[in-house]
Amino acid sequence: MNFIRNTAMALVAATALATPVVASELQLGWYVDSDEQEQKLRTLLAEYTKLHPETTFDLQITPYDGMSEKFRQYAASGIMPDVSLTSSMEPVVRPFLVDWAKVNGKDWIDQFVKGWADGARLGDQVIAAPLDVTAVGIFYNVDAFNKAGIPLPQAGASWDDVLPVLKQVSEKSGIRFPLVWDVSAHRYLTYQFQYGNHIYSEDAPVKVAMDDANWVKVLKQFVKITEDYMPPGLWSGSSSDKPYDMFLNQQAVAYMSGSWQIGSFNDSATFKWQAGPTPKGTVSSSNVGGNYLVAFNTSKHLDEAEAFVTWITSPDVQAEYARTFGLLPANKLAPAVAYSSPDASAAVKGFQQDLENSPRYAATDQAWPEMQAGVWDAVKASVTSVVSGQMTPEDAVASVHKAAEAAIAASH
Amino acid sequence: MSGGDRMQLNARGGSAAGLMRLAGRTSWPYFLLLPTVALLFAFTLYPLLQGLWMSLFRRGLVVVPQVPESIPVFVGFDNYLQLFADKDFVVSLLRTVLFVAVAVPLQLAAALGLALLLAPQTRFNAVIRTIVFFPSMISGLIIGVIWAWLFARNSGLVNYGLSLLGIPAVPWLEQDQLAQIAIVVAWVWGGAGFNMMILIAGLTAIPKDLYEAAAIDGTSPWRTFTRITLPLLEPSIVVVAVLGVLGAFQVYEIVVSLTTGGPGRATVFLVQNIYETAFKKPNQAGLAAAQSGVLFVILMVLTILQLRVVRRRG
Amino acid sequence: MTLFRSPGRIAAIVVVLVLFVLPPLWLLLSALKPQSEIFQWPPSLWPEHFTLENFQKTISRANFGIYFLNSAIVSVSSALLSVAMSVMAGYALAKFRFKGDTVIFLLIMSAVMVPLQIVLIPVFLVLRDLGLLNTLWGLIIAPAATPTGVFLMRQYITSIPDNLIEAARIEGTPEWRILLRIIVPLALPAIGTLLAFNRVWRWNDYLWPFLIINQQEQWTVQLAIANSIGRFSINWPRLLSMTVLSILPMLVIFIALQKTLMNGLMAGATKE
Repeated sequence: MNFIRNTAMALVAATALATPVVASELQLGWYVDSDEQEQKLRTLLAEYTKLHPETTFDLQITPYDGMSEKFRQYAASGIMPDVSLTSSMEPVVRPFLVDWAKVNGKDWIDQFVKGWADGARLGDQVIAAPLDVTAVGIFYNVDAFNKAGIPLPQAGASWDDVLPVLKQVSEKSGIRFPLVWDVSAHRYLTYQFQYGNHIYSEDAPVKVAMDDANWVKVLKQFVKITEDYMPPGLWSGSSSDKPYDMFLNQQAVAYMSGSWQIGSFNDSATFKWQAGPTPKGTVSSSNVGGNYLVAFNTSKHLDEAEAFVTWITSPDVQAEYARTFGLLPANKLAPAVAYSSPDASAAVKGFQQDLENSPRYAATDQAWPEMQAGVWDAVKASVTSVVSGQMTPEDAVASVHKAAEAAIAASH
Repeated sequence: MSGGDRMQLNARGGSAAGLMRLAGRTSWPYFLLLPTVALLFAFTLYPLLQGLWMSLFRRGLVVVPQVPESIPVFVGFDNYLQLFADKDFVVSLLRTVLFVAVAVPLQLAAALGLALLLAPQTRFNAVIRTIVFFPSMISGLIIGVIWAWLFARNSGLVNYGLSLLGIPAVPWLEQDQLAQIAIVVAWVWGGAGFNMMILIAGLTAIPKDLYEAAAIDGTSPWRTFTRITLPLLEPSIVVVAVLGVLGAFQVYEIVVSLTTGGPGRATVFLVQNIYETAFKKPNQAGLAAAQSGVLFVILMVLTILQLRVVRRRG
Repeated sequence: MTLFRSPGRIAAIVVVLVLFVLPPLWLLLSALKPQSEIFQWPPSLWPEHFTLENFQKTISRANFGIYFLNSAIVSVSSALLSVAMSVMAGYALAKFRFKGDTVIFLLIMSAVMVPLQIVLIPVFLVLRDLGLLNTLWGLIIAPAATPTGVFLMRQYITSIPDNLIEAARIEGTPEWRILLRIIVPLALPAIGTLLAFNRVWRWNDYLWPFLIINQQEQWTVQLAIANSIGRFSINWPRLLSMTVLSILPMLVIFIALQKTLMNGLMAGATKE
């Protein structure tokens, strides 16, 4: 009787607790955008296992939006995977992150795209390994231009030059809207960058560096663009128009988005498209983004975890990773990538150039951890409130300023 | 053996057993409630208590000893006092109250109408009932998605239909008042089937002979409705009303996929404000907990009031 | 009892049909469109190119069957558990006067008076301490206590005549027999309705699976659907087709329970 009960309890305990531990099975937290991505990832991981048979992987897929909650759970419960993909490092989880400067030396981080690499620094430490970078930029529907008989914009053209052209193309080719723009703070901020505005100082100590008057001027310009060239109400904050789908369905001549779209346009676009050249304001600027890999120092397989991350961020593997997923490699030393189509290769090259040519503040703004503390939402809300008539541009910019200050205050 | 004899036998023979049975009967309700209360306590009430405790501090969501900024700072009732000067909170609270005042009676009326329409047990009605119940089978997120498509300004079915009649596109989701109306519509639509089923279950508990008697007396349908149906339907109506108020005050999922709180911030209701305070502003989890505390008090008071009203009349 | 007679009734039915058939129809038809057509302009209800490719892609996904199986196991088990508990608790609150009965009732109802999102961390820690993480049991047990269900049963059982119970008590029937042989049969319409509701609620749960489950083999359909919402775009074909597929079992259960409902209600009608 007792024996049966004990066995039963043991079985229950065994199934209730974590899955059985195999020699060095690394738990990876990851988010993907599609099934194909997941398959490609698994193939890549299998490749690593071939090279290092003692390391296998347990891939835990989470929706992107749930990642920050997961990180909070890790910090609160002490239960965390070995490695995770992430786009930012929550303050509460930072004590648990492996310091790559200790693992690979303090110069290791310098081989990565500077803007994104800076975001991985925390004082003297390097708490994340850059995996891939993305750049903000514009896409054009080449077929529409050809149909309208108008040549595509050239490098160095400004918004004032390009916008009326887009309107002409849309009228002549019968495409509904000249321009669609991702409704995101990140993409809007790029526009501000192009007129010399940025939020935080470029150097430590971090300070709010906003020229409010210039911000207001540029915000008003942007709002006018949404009224004159974009689908009505796109930036009202509640529009259900989807810029990505609209561009893909040929309802827009141009689409302000970023390099991560290259892969899906390659697969799904039924028309000829081109990435960039992105119009400029007073300066030419893109905006960096991307992904990091973090390893947790609570891992029971720390050596294997560190080895894996070092492998996947090494130049050759970076090239393969970038080609597989249609992304830009984070490692500057990665050999030139031959993407699946000449369009894609040209697009990637263009974006990489854009990143290189962006002003320094385009990279530093994001690298400051304070940006994560509510500033993005304030930026987006500032535009949607003005577009929907709930706030004056002056008040909107003031609210961004306030949020930026509050973020600094909260962490000091 | 008659019932009376039986009872005497029980009372006399084995008073220990009799006492135990009496004790069993007295503790029986507690026993019945134990599983529910135990589970609720573990997974909901205990965390909620911790949440209320959180409202007395200035802190973030997670406390990690190695991160000094995350250590909570006791502030007593400061968070609560701060609330009433907080414009975002007050606006979202008032907006939510307005929503509840409009949407819950509307939903009750709709559910009642549907229940009366579809209560008779015919196969045809069963089919229609299934159709009406459909929205209750899908999550709030999908309901919002469906109505976002219907109401979309540039590619929505409603505006397309209007354009065929020559009416220009209405910015349903992009104008403050229209967006609120859209949310009411979507919310009422989403809950109609659920509440209809509750009312139908209640309708069928009304004895048929009452209606027969009324028909024989020649009572008008309206009087039958107000004098017989409504009073006897009261327990079910109370369910719809109480659950409706509880649900409407916490409306969130539908709003997220329908308007994301827009245009601008015109449709940010109480729960969205709470989440934004907790997740988007640094170190304001205590404030968010205080907002939740206020919500809790409001709902508790309203629920007690609604149940009291019933008890007095019953 | 019908309040409206035709043609008013017919008009009302037509309006109801339009309001309630159009959206699910859109859902179904959109799932049958190729990706490029879903958001085209002018919007069309009817697909230009009927295609089953969205469904094919969704079904051929590696673990699709497992997601459905997990959701089915969890929702049915949890519904049964929950209804059993709700009947017990509702009966206790409806037919007994005991010390603390109002307090306990309000305590139970208070569980739905606050949104859980800001206390996700404490909830997570409870789950961890009870060893329920990464198990389907966690998904079954954690949300099983439903205040709404308790409330529904309480209201319904209130309408069961007291004398039936009193008579049984005088005869010396043990309490559990009263519950099973008298209360349950009389409450069958509400029980059937509650079973259907619970099944739906558990099937649509996102919060608990998100907190508890990490392994793809234990994903429920809702987690899979949530993964259609990517970082930069929403995978509409997958979202729509999976939603349609996930509604089908609920539809089937609802129709089946309607039959029981009808029989139960008929029995109730002829009883009095």
